[in-house]
Amino acid sequence: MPGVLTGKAIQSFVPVTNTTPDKLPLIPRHLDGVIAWRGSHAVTAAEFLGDVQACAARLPDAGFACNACEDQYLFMVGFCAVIMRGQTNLLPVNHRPGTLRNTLTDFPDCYLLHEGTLDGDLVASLNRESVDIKFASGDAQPGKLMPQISVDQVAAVVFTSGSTGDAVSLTKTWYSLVEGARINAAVLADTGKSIAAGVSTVPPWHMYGLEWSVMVPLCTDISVYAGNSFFPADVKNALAALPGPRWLITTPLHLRALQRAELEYPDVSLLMSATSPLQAETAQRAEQQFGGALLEVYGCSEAGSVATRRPTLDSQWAFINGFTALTSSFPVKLGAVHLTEAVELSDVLEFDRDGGFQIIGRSEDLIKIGGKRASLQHLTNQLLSIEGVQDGAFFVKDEDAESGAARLAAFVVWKGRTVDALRVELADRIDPVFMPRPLRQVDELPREPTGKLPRARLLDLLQKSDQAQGHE
Amino acid sequence: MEAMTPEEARLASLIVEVLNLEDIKPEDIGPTQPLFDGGLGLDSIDALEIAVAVAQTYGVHLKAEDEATRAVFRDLRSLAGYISEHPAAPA
Repeated sequence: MPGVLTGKAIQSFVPVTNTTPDKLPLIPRHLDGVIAWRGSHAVTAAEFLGDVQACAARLPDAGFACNACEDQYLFMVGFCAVIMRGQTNLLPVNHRPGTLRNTLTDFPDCYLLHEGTLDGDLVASLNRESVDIKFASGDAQPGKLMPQISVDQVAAVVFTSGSTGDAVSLTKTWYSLVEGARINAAVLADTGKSIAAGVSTVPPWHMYGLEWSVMVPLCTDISVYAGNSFFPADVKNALAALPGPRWLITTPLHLRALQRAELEYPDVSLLMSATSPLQAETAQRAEQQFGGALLEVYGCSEAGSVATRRPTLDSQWAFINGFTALTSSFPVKLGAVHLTEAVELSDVLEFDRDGGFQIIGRSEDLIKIGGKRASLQHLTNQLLSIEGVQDGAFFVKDEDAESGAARLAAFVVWKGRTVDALRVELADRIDPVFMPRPLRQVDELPREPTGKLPRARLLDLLQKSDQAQGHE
Repeated sequence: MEAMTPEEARLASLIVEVLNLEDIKPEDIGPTQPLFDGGLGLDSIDALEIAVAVAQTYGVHLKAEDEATRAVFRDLRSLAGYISEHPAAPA
């Protein structure tokens, strides 16, 4: 069948031939193959298409759908149904009340698509049309006619933190997502591990999860576990439900948790890790524990995955086929056919003679906690925006801690109320992973005459403050 | 503040220790205070850390795949209760 990508035989990839050159299929793969596993029950791509069509028929008219589905399969059904209707999926970073409220405010022509697990009062308070995908899916007949999607249709808007501090929205056309899947399928084929099915521990509404756990199954013969796999016991059950060879799409944080939970896991041929740097020791133990190869992936929401390495073999990274560095000094600019403009990487890269590179460090302002990106300045601005706060600053407390577990700290100059009250206000404005530990009240911040606040001074103040409070 | 059972107190200590909750003492955690979403304000990373610590300490393997199992995490009382009722079962 023309235009079908297989994870195994990417060498025989045939350029997509469609009825018109400006469209791509909604599900460019063999329909009789398995796309998802609900427990041990196999769901074929044809059945999936049926679910998508049934869902699409019940969606309202609008330009956008805020896709707040969390189950892997339901998210994928909603994702495709929205696209089939010519609409755009909005994928906010989390489904907290404040975030959903802000997203719907910014996009008036948008309804909420969810799976019935959001708080009823919250949904009512959002004052916007909402669709429970479980009712929308209804009676699906395995579909026959493959929807064709315009290559330029904006399939999704992915959100992330920008270097200026404010939230950034990134539009993803259907073409860029499908081409990204083709590029990623080639990455999988290059590992030499033929993969049947994968489990993801990451949210499908973040770019890493979207490109690997959603787009790859949509565009290859690989299937994905339909439920959510978060805790070690869930991951073990999910892996056990899948046919081998297996693939685990995960992060350093989860790899360490899986190790410490001391469970016996089924074999995994390919372990994939991304979103924060992986320690060599964690990589070694993971390969031993699961009996597979660990492929570390580096990327960003703007460009998707751009480089890989095998950390147990070599610390050097190599760009994925299709990506080219247009500059070699900071900031490194990357180009690729499916990117409408060059993407600036926020890390400092050091290139070797053969085009490979090491990642030296991040820009000071853009940090990652638990794999989520944020601007320290943006977080500080949120703190400063609270009434009564006279001064404040967020900073990274543990630079040496394994990045996934590092936490932020913050000082605040705030008179009259308690830190607890401040915490409540702050929680309404920022993602929980960025909540400072500790949030310490001080009389003034150790600013330089220019107003600058070097991290060294903040760490020093923290140490003094700890001593004064009787810590350590 | 509601009184804590010894099991709840033990779990509270474990949580404070494992999550490095610097400004919070175990006895300050209300047994029915929500652990996530307001209340104690824990996040998904904390949930994972707690699950691992509970596995290592009690030999109980928490799951989050469905709503029923997620409800176990609502507060200290529900979590401590689940642990007491499911001693060291294989996952």
